[in-house]
Amino acid sequence: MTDHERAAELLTWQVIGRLSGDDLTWLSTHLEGCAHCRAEQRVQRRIRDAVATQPVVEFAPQASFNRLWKQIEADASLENPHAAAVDNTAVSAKAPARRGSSWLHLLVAAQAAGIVLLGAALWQRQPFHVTPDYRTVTEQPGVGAPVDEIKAIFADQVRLADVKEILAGTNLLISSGPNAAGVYTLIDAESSSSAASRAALARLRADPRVRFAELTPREPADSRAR
Amino acid sequence: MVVMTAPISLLQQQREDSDRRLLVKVAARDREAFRELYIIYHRRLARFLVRLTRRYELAEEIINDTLWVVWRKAADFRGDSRVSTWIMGIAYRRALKTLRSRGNQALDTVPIENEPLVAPDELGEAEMGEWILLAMQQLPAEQRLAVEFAYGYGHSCEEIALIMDCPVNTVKTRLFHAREKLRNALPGLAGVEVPP
Repeated sequence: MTDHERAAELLTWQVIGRLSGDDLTWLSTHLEGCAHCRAEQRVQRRIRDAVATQPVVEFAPQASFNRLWKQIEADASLENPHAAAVDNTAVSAKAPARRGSSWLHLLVAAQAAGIVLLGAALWQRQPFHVTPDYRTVTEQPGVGAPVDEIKAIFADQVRLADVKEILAGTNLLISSGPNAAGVYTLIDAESSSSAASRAALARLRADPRVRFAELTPREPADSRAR
Repeated sequence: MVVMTAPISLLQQQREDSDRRLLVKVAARDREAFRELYIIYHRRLARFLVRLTRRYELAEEIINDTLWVVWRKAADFRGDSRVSTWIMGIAYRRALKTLRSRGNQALDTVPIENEPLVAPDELGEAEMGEWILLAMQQLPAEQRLAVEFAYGYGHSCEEIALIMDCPVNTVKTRLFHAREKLRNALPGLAGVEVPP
């Protein structure tokens, strides 16, 4: 291994601050007298800076967390039918002992009886195939509160910074996409009203950086099932 | 060659301490702690998963699969590595499994107009960054991920070997080839003429 090759390898760890000891001393000395490796250092810093940048389009992590938490609660119910759900508050190590108290058993029993009655009532009202009111982690979004969606395609020359600006200006979030056709599904970040969706749609259509935008009103899950 | 790895920075140590406190609470089934850990790692994982999968909804799916495993296995974490190394390793394996089950498409390199990608000589800093990310898409997935874990997340060679479940020398080799390819794709990357 030549000094240049050794320096190139060490530079990876030097530019991220993970090099120490004799290796760091050797590299520092080598860099002072080697323009080639100083150029290599610039290369690696640029790679570091580029890779460390966040994607410009942000997710909505709270909504994703809510979906995962529903899944966890569903799993907990399957694994332990006696537990109504995973606790929604901080659970201390003493919690299992408290759950054993008789009043709580009564409460759980009452809840279970209520659930059975409610289930029976719903069963009589629903057709045979009913869309479940939960979704697994890998299912596509679609079940839940009615939210208008906007399908949008951005112009070819639009950069991520433009997308971020467009979304900020219309108060929209990316719900999913882009799909194979480059279509993004957008939802209103704060409001579920149709008026807000139409206003956002109008702003999108007025923006020359948006090639296509169309509103897709969503129906409540129970109305789709009927 | 055994590289002398520096300890993580003070900021990284504070982050690690915070992660460990949260993980202990998660192991005790603390929903709020899990939510906090989720939000933190959602952002961290999204960066490399979006680039790896090139699909937001798929990255989202892998993030949730990963954090679901974290929820289930938090009590099993023994502290042999940093929390971020452990979670990143889970995400890496979940990502490969998901992508392979979907026919490897996102694991392939991206041919750009069937020609080798070479950037123009004159590029601004912002454009250079975009070209680097574009050039990375031409790297095989294992090389691309090694670059992400090292330069993007500041993991040491040994930590990357843990995440990718491979020997340290394999990590070095992947990084070597990745650097070579990026340099060839971006001749103006150093800002000066590079001697042979």
